[in-house]
Amino acid sequence: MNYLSSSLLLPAIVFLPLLAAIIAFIIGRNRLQGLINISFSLTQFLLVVLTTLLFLDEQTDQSERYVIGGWGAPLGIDLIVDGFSILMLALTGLLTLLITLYSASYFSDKYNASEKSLRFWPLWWFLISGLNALFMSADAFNIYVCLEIIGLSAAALVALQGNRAALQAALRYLLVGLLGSLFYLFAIAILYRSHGTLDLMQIAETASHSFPDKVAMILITIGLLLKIALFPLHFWLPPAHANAPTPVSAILSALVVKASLYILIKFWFDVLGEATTFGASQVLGALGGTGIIYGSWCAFRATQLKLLIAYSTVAQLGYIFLLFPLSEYSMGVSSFTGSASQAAVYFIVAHACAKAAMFLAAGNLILAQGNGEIAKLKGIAVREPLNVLVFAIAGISLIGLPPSAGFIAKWLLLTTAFESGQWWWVIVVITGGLLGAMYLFKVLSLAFSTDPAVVESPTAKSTAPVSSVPVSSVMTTVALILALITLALGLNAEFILNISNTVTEVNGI
Amino acid sequence: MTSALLYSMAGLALFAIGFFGVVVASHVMRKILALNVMGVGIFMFLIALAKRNPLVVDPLPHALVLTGIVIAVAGTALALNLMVRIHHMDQSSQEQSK
Amino acid sequence: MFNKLDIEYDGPAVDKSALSLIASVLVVGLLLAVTIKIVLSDKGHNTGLAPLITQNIELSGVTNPITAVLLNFRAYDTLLEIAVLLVVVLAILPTRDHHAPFFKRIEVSKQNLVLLALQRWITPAVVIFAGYLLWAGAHQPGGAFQAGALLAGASVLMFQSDTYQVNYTSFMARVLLVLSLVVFITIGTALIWFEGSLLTYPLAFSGLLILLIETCATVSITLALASLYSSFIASENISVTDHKHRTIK
Repeated sequence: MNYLSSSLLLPAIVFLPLLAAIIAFIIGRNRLQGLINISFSLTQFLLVVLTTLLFLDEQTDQSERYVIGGWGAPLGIDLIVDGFSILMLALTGLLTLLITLYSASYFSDKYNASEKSLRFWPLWWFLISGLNALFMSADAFNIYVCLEIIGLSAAALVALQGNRAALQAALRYLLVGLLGSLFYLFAIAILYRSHGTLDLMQIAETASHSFPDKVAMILITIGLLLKIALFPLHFWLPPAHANAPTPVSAILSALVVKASLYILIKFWFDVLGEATTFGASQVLGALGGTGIIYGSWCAFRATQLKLLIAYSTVAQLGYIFLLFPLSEYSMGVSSFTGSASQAAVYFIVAHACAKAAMFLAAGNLILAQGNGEIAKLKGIAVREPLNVLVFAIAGISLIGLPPSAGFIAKWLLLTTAFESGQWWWVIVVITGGLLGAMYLFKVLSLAFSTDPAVVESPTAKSTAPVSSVPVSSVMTTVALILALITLALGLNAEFILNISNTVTEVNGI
Repeated sequence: MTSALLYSMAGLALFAIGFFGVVVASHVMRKILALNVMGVGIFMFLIALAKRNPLVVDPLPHALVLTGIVIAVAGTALALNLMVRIHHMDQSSQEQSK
Repeated sequence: MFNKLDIEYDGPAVDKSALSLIASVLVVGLLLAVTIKIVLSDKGHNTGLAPLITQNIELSGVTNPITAVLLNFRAYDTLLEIAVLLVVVLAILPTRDHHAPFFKRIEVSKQNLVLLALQRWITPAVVIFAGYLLWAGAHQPGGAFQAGALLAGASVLMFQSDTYQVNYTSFMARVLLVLSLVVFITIGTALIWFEGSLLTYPLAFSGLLILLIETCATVSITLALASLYSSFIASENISVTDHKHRTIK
């Protein structure tokens, strides 16, 4: 028996959720259902933590390749992780654990959702295994299969709500996702044609400034931008994220769009870095900047709470796209290194935690309130103080106020923008922050407003509308934990940067 | 002009036609069909790619196409199912309003 | 471009907004020009992975190179692809009727003679041919997906009349649906123990293991495709008043 290395655990991280999906499907509705799923998520979390620790202990840029089938690339498929992907895996593990805990309550009999749970759990675990498989794949076509697992299960999860708006949002999401994957698949065909291999690193070795590589890069960018929902291709995201069940909204905003983003970053900086140009990255940055302003504005005008948060995702994704122009300034060589990439990585983590917390808190508020109208939230802070607190903390992080993860992320972004001399992005970032403050304080000021009827009768349940259900303490606690993580990340920035530092050390291709 | 070249051009044309359909058609059924046309275009491109060299047949693109077809079937089935469900929902609400 | 999603038939066939029309024509034109330039100018990698696959085919346990790629060299892709199919089945299966039996035969008084004859004559032949395809996959074109698709076609024929009914949500059906994924994962991970790496078939047993996986895959794929078909039929039956779409029955 040879010594344990991080790469040996990689297949287990994919297969454990698959196993959980199969078991959830076979046993169907069962009293132990919640318990089984929670224990699976706990096991998976521990496995991911162990892998992360082993990876950090190895002190390498990349783990060893896990060779499936003993063939090795280019004949077979390899699994590999680097600093960025291990961070995404760890994030997935953490959010899976917390949102599974939340879902176990959300889909219990208490909220008349056990019928939905029959479909939710297997699809949920397929989604997680697809995400995990994506983050460790070293094969271009394997990534396509993973993208399809994610896309189809995510669309099916959105449709779970069952009303017309949700079905239509799911259908649109599915069609856009399929279109995006087809563009990606076409690019893969072109890449295989000119490189004769599907392995990402072997493609990177022979990648050049040649015409086919450029076309492939353009096709991949178009396809993945559709899936990431960068402005102006964002049209499908708000309805899909707003109409899904709460835990699904949380994972969609926190991780599923990030999965496509991860692939885009990987291709843009690692695989086809040679084929990208300064102009193209400025275009992506400009789209990101427009997305920040437009998304924030739409969020400000939204009347539904979940729609507001979904538009906020459109805006926040814009910030991450500033990475592309900002990382160009160092000698024109684009590689996923330096402070711009640190800012982007930090932004991804900060946004994932804050947005998940916000969606869960919003879901709790909607349960307590009976519907998702923002105007109806007046004075809810008296009845649901903890959930409003979570919403506020997550909001602080999204606006980028200290002490929160969002503050550090924005700080890194701003300093990079100054250093690189691209001051125009500073204006965009600050305007976006102000607009963010506008739409979030709109909700918070309503929540804290003193409605005389509410203040006079402090006993919570007597004033609650008839349609509302008491929010289970587990659901509030999970949201609170996520919010506290957001705060902790703001106070202890080195932790994330340490993991992503291994990214920084990967020098070029 | 070899036949492989002809096939890959036909594949590209199918991809383009399909994309046009996806964007321009407004009925969901047409959009789904157009997506399938796009997919078929890529599969055709891949199969032509397998025979670039007249002496060697590359089996890998064939395998990719087989995998791709199954995934396309899955995606199409889900899209059709969602479409049919929305259709029935509309119909029953229409009947109620009558 | 996706903001308008018509479901009914009486809507206009074309999204009339000029923006999407112009944009799509531009993109299509650009795409065609650019890609045709690639096809014409670039010689590319001339043989791809063909030499490597030919070299290693002896070690794969099958002689058909496509089956070797699908179930040995890139078996991990195939495993995930089966998961994709299962995701869709899960999304579509109804959530009711867990306790009805898996298979049911109902005596229908009024039989359609043509259909009956087709069922009696064609179905057995299709089943035999599917078995042959599955077996032939090892050395010539064929394999689990082709066999599964054929069997699913036969099942479409069988379920045209209401004589035979399969309950896809029964325990038995669920076990059969996940069978291929379970077998694939079990064999794959068991081989970590024996051979040291995921899905590494030992040379002596590779042909046998591939056949086992393919057989299970055929069963699961048949059931999955048949359940997808029946879900459309079932939802058609829900709205009895809907005559416009009942062209199948």
